[in-house]
Amino acid sequence: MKKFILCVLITGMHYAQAQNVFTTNAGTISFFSEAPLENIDATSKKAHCILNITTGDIVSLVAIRSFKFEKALMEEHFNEKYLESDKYKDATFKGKIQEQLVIDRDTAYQVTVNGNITIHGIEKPANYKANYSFKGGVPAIEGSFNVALKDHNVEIPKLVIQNIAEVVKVTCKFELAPYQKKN
Amino acid sequence: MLPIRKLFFIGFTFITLHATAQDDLMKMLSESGEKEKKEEVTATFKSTRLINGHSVENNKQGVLQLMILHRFGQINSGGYEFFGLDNATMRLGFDYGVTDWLNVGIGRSTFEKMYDGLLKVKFLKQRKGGTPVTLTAVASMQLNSLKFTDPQRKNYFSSRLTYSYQLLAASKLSNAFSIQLMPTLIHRNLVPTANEKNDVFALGGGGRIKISKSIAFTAEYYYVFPDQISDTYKNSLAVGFDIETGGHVFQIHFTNSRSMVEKGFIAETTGDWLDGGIHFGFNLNRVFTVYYPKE
Repeated sequence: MKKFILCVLITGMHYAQAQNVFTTNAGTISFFSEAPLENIDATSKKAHCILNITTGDIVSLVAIRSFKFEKALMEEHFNEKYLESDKYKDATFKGKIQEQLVIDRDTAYQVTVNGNITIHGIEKPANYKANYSFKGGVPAIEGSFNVALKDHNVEIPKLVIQNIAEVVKVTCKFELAPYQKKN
Repeated sequence: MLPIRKLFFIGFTFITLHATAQDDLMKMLSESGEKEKKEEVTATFKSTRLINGHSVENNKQGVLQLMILHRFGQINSGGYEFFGLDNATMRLGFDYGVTDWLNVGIGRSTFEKMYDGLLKVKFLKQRKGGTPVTLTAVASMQLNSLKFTDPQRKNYFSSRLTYSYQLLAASKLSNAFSIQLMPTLIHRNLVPTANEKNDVFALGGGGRIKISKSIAFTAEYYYVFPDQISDTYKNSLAVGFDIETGGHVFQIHFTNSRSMVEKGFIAETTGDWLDGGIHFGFNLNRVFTVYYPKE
């Protein structure tokens, strides 16, 4: 019986956590590739992010297909040849913000995020600097970092080596709102 | 005993709690996300042409495709003709994506001084775990602008025209393997002899197998139903490779057809694969994004 109560309590804690959880499914992730022949940039405005403001745990997920390119053919090749989005649907990040997150006043400061990033099915440890801000009762996270394509087994054929950078700059922006469970 | 067991239990619960904190968040994310529609299948073929004929692919809105197509003479024409390479015919064409589902195109072939125009509508898209096929309809008109062979008789402008109507049904069975069926109707306003039909029905079949991310093997065959055209004509068979390099797709192939418009390669193919009546040829496709659609 005691154990049962304990279980209920712990489960309860779990749900209580939800109050400390902020989320968005309309975050922005864009990347930029600078190469001798052309620059390529693409943006997804459908990036998901969820943050536990008490523990600092943060998870982000973006569907590869949600990235929009200026040139339609680039988008097709990005999905078909490079990121193989039919096999590896999403890119994800799971990590933890190291600093205590301030939620009782408006503020903005730099934080360190340690975790793992998975792109093209390959998981790599990732430690980034990001900007945390809290304004009007809601938090926001912003940051940018570099991803080396070869770290995630994204091959660039020799023919287009002049067109695609080996390291692309990724920029993220998440404006979060309190988490609401959908039924 | 009891306290230790209790400690164990509590410790264990906390460990699992900790380990799953981020996974829980991930789960909450997927619960809060809306269910997406079944994903469209893209890149069934690399080009808007399978080889001679159309594939189900369309240019996206605002994309202009420049096509430079060559067919050389027959390989069995011997060393004097450099196995056909001395004798090239070409078609220059543009296809344009008015919308993602509607393409229009124009072209001019040296063979028969032919002008052609086409409308191409993609009206059903294959979806993962849903619709099994992509369907595209193509209507094209060809105008033979050669001088009339017999200027003495009364010649009508309409005699220069032929039409072709195709329904293309393709399925990307796997990432590397796509197949396509092409029921086709060709209408010729004027035929050489009374024995030849004005309407010619044919059924095409083809497909591609990707050899690498950038190279695919392609094949295409058109079967013309019997008793419609002269026995001297053969069914069109073509095999080739698609080589894709960013904005270009090169298609190199061998085919027994010389013409690069439907009425020609489907109903007037003279080459015979068995005795070397094969033409080497290539399609060079380059796309330009000339208009950037707003989101």
